[in-house]
Amino acid sequence: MTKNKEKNITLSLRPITNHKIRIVRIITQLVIFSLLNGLIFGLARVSLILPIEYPTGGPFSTVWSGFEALQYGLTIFTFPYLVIAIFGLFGAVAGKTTCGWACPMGLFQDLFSYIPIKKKKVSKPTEKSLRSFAVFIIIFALVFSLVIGISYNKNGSAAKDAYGIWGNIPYSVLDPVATIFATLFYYLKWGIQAETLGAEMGDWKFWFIARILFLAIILILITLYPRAYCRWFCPTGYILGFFNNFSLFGLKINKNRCPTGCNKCEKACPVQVPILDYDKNITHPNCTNCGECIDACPEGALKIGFRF
Amino acid sequence: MNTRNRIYVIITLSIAILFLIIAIVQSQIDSFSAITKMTEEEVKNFLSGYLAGFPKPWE
Ligand code: SF4
Ligand code: SF4
Ligand code: SF4
Repeated sequence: MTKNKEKNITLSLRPITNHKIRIVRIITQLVIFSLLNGLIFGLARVSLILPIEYPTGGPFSTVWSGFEALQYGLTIFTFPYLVIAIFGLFGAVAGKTTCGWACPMGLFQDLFSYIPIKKKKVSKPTEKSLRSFAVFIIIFALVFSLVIGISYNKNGSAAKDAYGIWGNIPYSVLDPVATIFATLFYYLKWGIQAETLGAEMGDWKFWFIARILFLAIILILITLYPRAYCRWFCPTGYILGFFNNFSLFGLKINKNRCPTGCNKCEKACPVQVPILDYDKNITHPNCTNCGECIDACPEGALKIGFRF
Repeated sequence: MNTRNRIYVIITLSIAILFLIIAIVQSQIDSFSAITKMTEEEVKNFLSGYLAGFPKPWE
């Protein structure tokens, strides 16, 4: 083989060898996505709770989404020991790793980020203020669930039923993740029937329009700003992000191996983590341990490991 | 990781394990197992929030 040919082969393979972690990660995400939709392959629903964003009542869902379980637990007026334990264990051990490697909404946003449109960035203060959407969603969902739980405790399940669509999982009425993986999925499964479409459109109510609008905004945002839902809106991600401060596993930088400060890592990071601001452990709440920065670093200065 | 963070992680893990034990003793998992026995229709009614304002052709 001539030198030139060899060089060409190496060059054409480079995108693969340069993205080793990304490839392993996408395969992991797809395998987990299949398991979460296990009803397709004849698996059963199980009462397992995971800190991910995937609608519990999706047509093929097998597990409970942590934040939905948290709301449901409050609406039946139980102190959610189990859900807090799940968030605590996953968070303290691995921080936001489930976001990078397991969450279907994370995978969905990753796919959107491959749309070849120039990606935009936001300034650090804007990033911080936009995160208050997630705080608002968390407060709204938990307070509303607790109010429902208190009436359930006082007046039994009839009081809970009076809350109608909000009764079991309040945030699910607007949740764009539920819109993608449950609402639209059910609708596609049933099929749009042309002859009755007009009548159906007449039936569409305020909340349906509201959730489609919210979804449209999210779709535009995640196309322009990779993982915008994770960064600014996701309640699960906000809770797990807090644990990044002290999680056992996480991203580390070895500054001795980074003499140039070439900044390739920060450019590769989809969620705008200011990696070079940290001396050793990267504890930023946006970091999902996705490994894109490790793939990008020419000096091998970054790695994911035990940080205790 | 500095000492303060080590203390945080130990406290978090202890609380999580304690809560897990309480949840097991209280059989909290039973509250969430209802969904495992539901038919598709029952799931849709139970989680009616997903289909709020949505024409329900199966009704
Ligand atoms: S932040 Fe939320 S939507 Fe994003 S990957 Fe994590 S759990 Fe999923
Ligand atoms: S800092 Fe690295 S591991 Fe963390 S989110 Fe950014 S690219 Fe992924
Ligand atoms: S890519 Fe590697 S060498 Fe370049 S700035 Fe980041 S850590 Fe340093």
